[in-house]
Amino acid sequence: MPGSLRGLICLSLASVAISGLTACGGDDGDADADAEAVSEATNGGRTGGTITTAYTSFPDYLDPALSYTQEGWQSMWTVYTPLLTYKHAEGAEGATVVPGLAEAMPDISHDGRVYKLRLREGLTYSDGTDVKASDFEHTIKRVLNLQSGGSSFYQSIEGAEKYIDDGRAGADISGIETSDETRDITITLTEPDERLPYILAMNFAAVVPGDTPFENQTKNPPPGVGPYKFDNVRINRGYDLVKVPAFDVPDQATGKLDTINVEVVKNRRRQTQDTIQNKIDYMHDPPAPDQLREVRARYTGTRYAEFVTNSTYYYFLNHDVAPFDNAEAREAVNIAIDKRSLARLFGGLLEPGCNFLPPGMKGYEKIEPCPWGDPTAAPDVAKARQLVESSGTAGQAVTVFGNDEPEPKALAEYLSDVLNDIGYKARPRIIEASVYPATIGNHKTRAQAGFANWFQDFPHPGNFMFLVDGDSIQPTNNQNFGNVNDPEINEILDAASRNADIEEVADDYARADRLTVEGAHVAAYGHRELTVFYSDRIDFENCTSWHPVYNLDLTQLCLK
Amino acid sequence: MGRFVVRRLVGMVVVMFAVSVLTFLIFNVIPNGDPADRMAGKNSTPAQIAAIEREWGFDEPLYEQYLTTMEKVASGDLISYANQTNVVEEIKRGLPRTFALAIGAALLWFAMGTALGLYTAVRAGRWTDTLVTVLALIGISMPVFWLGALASYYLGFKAGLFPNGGYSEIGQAGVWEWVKHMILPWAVLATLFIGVYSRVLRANVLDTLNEDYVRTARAKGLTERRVMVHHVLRNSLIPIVTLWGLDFGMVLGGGAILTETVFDLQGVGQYFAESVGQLDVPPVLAVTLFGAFFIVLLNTLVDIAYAALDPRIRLSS
Repeated sequence: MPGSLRGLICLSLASVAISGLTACGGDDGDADADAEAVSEATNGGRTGGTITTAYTSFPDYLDPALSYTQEGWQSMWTVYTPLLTYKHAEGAEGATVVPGLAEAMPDISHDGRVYKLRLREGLTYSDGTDVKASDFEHTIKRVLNLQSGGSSFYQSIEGAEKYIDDGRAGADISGIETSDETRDITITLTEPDERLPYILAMNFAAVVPGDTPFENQTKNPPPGVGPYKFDNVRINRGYDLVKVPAFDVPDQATGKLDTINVEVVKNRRRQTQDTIQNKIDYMHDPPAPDQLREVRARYTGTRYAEFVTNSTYYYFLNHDVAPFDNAEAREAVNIAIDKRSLARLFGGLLEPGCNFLPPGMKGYEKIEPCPWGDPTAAPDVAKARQLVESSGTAGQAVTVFGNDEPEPKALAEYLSDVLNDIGYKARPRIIEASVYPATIGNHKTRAQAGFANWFQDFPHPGNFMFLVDGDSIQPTNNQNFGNVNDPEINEILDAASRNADIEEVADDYARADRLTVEGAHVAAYGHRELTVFYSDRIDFENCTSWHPVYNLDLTQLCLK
Repeated sequence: MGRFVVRRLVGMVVVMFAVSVLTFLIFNVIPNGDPADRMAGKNSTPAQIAAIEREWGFDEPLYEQYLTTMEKVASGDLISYANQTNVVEEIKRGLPRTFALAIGAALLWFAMGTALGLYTAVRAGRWTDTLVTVLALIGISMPVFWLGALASYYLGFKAGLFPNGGYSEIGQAGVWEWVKHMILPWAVLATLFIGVYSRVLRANVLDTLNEDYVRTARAKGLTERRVMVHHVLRNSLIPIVTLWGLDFGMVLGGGAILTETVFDLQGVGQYFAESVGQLDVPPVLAVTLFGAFFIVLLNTLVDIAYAALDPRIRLSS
């Protein structure tokens, strides 16, 4: 999802607390005072104990049907388990969809429209009630009825659109059939969707009891099936994740800590200071920029680490509007931008890169040498100026779009300066973040160039490459902002989208990625990094697990 | 007095109405995007957006939207567009923190401002007057966010003399912990006002000392202490009380945004600042009304206090 929108959703964090997965991203508690005994565990870390974690903002919702921010999803994954889920592992392994509450991966019909799953036997929610197959349909109904940001993912289910149109919460979704007796769940799609396993693994589809009301349950989150449960929810202040001892689902992490106290501490400087002084055990967001250098120098490898997220930051260059309808003009931009400078705009928390696909994504093959110059070296501005001259576009006026969040604004201003430097008459145009995607995604705007970014909804290369797929172009709400329409890329993506086996099509996505870069269809410059910063009490070495979807895996956190 | 109170109450309603209309209009005409579009998220469909518009009443005429919103304010059902939390409950949650900050700081700046103002007036022209005057000017000149950051860093983080921000509930950690958390915010917020108040009071006292009735009081043989307290200070305090009432109302109504943010108190002011950042109309409207209420209320109380301080002032006139 676009970071700009995420910035809106995540409210106070703007683009700083951006995370690897979703659209986006107190009071004193002296963790040292925690005298709870901890015991040696068998898997490297210890179990037991209580920690205090700090988030800059409260999650958008504590309701799996509604939450669409990284903060929300990180906790949500510990409380709710969907029918399918991800392995609790790092790297590519963690991006593997595995059975969650379902006994096995779905049995898919030959035409790719019907998915059959069976619920595991004997599952209970954290409140002790039994999990029923029919709860799944109720779960999807809630997502659709509550107009969740995730509802569009489930509209390929037969009858989903009719359900929304009818507006009756209790109505049936014809494409979902369940049997509480056999625990069978059958999902029928209107057309094949190779993304469905990933969509079923999203938190939106995490099963909740069939009597969960059709309204936002953030105040009193519904029970789930997971290693932890929500407790002591204090809206905009914090909540607790309390271990559920009875949780026992094969191949799922059970959680090491007894309790994770989540506190909202809006001042990141204070968060950093409190973490240094061991008053906070885990700081979710990066330290404030002026503190980052000191934290890096003193704690890297012992209490602090940086991780590259599955995200991509790029400038879109509109192929339908001059001057970037000219390939040489686009090449000039790619050559002229200094990716080291851009990384500095993120306080150093941007991994400069050449690829459009992020490094953690299936299909990523590092493009080396980068056709536009080494991302970690100075750009060849003279060459860029020559290209602008030879393209015949020199002197043309360019409006560079950006939104009013700090980084996008600075990025738009930077590109404007670069364009002026290589021979254009550029000026930035900064618009309000909430309307930014809709504005630049409207053909009538004819946005020439501007800031864009994307954070995965799920770990599938198609979730990135559709941004440069000519078939995805539409007159409004267009997310292919540059109207990239390369027949070769379109053909590759079209073929790849018909194959549900991601391993088989990884090379195709790599080729599409290379063509995107080599064709200078966008000016990609890097991938966002996030951080973990711990108190001295946390076992950094044994209990830090950076998940490709949910970022820091809270179930793996443990005390020394 | 009765007629005065009634008149002020009617005026209060008129002011509140005007504030509510203006705030509502301002945040509806600026280009903040369609709230339904924003609520539906990036994957929204036209049908989804239409459903939200229907449900939230965004498809109704503006005046109807205003009336619906005000009805929700009155009934306590106002919901944030950003995260669908109850705005009135959020304000209630932030109120104890804002009250704690405002009341403590207001008492501090009133007491300190009065004491220093009186002291410098009595010692006008001496080196102590000059010293306090310079200190007052420094206090006035220091931005709250800068002073707060310094105090928090050096006295909180480095020296560990005070908690490094945050708020401690009395019910959870006791009164002393609460006081420890509030000392720096009180001091920082009060610093600016102490400087202003001491300067204003000093000038007033010096003016009053030259009044005929002060000379008369001295000629009557009253003690200097009685002259200063009953004749000089009492008269000099009238504009101070006015100022104090307005400032206190402003701080109570969300005016201590920077102090709350620097010390992460998460009171009403901080909530307001975040809501403005998100162009989230319901909380902005509610907090603005809340602030206006306190400013008007405090203004009324100040007018009543006038009569007590100076019997020559007739409220009915």
